Amino acid sequence: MGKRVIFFLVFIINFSLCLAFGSSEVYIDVTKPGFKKIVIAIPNFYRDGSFQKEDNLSKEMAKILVNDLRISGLFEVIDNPLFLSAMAESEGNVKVDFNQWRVLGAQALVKADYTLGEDKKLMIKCRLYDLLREEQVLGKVYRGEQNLLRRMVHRFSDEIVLKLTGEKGMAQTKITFISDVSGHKELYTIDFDGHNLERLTRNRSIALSPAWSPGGKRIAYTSYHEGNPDLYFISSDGTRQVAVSTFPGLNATPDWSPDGSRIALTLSKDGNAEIYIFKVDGTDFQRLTRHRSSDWSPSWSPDGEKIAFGSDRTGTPEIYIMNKDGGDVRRLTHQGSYNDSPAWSPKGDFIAFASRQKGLFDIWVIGSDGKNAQRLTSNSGNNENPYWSPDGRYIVFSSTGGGTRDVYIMNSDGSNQRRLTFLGGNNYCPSWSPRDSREAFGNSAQEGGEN
Amino acid sequence: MIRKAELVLLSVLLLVSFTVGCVSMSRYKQLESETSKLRAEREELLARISEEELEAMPVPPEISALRGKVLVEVPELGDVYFEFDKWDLTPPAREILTKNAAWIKKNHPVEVLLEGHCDERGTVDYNLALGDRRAKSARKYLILLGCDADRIFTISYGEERPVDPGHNEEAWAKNRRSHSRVVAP
Repeated sequence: MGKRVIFFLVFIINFSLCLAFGSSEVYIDVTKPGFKKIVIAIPNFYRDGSFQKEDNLSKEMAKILVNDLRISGLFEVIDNPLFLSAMAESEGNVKVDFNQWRVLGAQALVKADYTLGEDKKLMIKCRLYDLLREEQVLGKVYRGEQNLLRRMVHRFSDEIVLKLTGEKGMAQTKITFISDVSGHKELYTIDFDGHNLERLTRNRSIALSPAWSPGGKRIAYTSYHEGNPDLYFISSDGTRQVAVSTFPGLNATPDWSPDGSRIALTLSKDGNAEIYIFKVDGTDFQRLTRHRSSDWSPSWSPDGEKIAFGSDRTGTPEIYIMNKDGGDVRRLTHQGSYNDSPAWSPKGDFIAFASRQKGLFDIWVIGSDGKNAQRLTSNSGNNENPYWSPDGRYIVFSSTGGGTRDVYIMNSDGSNQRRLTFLGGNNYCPSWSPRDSREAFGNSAQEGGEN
Repeated sequence: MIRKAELVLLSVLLLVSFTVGCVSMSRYKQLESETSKLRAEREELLARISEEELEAMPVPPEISALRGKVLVEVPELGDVYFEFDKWDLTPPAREILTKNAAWIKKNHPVEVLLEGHCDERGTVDYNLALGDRRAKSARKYLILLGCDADRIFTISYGEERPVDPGHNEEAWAKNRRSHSRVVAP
């Protein structure tokens, strides 16, 4: 009996030691099916480090953070900030009573406070606590003008996602899309959380198929405003634009190579729609497809070696893959009779596309090896133009499922579908910005770390 | 009582597991730091390329023939219609094109722009290609009838410029068309 007990004890100690030293900082693997959301508590932000003062600014900051984490689909945020704030107040600024937070079922806790300087500049101090390990795991300080408030909170929420899931969040990214709400089809951008809608073009014509550059500084898109569907580059703030490809016929459906050096696009100057690539300085056009049927809608693989595209060489639109020099064409899709708009995931493993079944389009993903086709949308009208987030966790697409044609975001497994556009009109052709590039969105917020 | 041998065995097991745990932990940390180093390098590379993007001045390789030209409507030139997902010309379409060809030849050297349109049901991208084929199909026929090839241009609007925004068969049939305009003299 004694033998067994001792053996068991030793085993337990051994096991615990291995766990303690073997555990990493990645808490959950969101790519595994059925992963559990992280439960996080977020009381209101506090002003000047004291818990007496609570105003609209602090509530707004908490609201932005709560929303960012909620819409990420990775967290369950404990609601009722008033109740949480009372708890935070009771334990004071420096202490954290981990037990009282764990009792709520929370695994993580955020505490933040801010000061407003005489120069009207904001300084926000944010801390993230792991309630199971009972320690602070993240500490950040942000300084900037008040109008950068959203950006600063988004920055912290992305850091939280990075710390707890191993990949940075998408709160600082933007989506560009086409809307005809103004009476003409123009280019717009919007934040991941649906705020900050900005109109980029005033061409009063037809804008189409935007594609955000990997560097984040500009967007390639097609516009008819000079009489022909030509390809333009427009700076991501909409202030400068220049024509890049102006062949007779179509200059459309651009897609940037992952290193940003080339663009693949559809040109119809040689008879019917074919796929070409060219250097972003406007030179070195190379033709890739030479079929007498039409080929269009190219999408680069993330390693820059292959291009997926649509073609009706068998009679109806299907998706094919070819090498970046046009060689070795193979067919990818074999289901139904209409598969188009390929979008290659930044992780390289899946290609999203639109497939028509029974007259309506739905978004599907298929392995780049042609296996494991999965349907992501159903019973929601027409779903088209899929495009991946830079972390490969989300897909943005257009859908008429809500009665109007609007832009939606969903997790890459089809869950957590959320409408993004509420401006009216028809909204479609979305493209996702790269991960935040500070220069691209021009701000003077500084980041400091106390961790 | 535990025998000495068992105790030794247990201690060895403990030591081995502990070591394995530490080694795999340090290997993991090594992989982690390698990955973040690679990530940082990639971010830097992307940032550098963005600078070059700004510097580069793209030069249009060829000016499209229609840039800057003013186009006007001509009621004498009728629209031709197409069947769903098709770009070949039906007999009624050929009749209309025959009449149009007569007008075009009579008004030589007029420059004509043939538009290709689709209904909303296909994808945005596919419909750009389909509209292109419809316009080129009409153009080919006009040339067969003796019109000057150098004076007939095509443009595809895909599904982007419907005449009827409805979501029914009637609207769709009206939108599957080729429409003509001419360059102002």
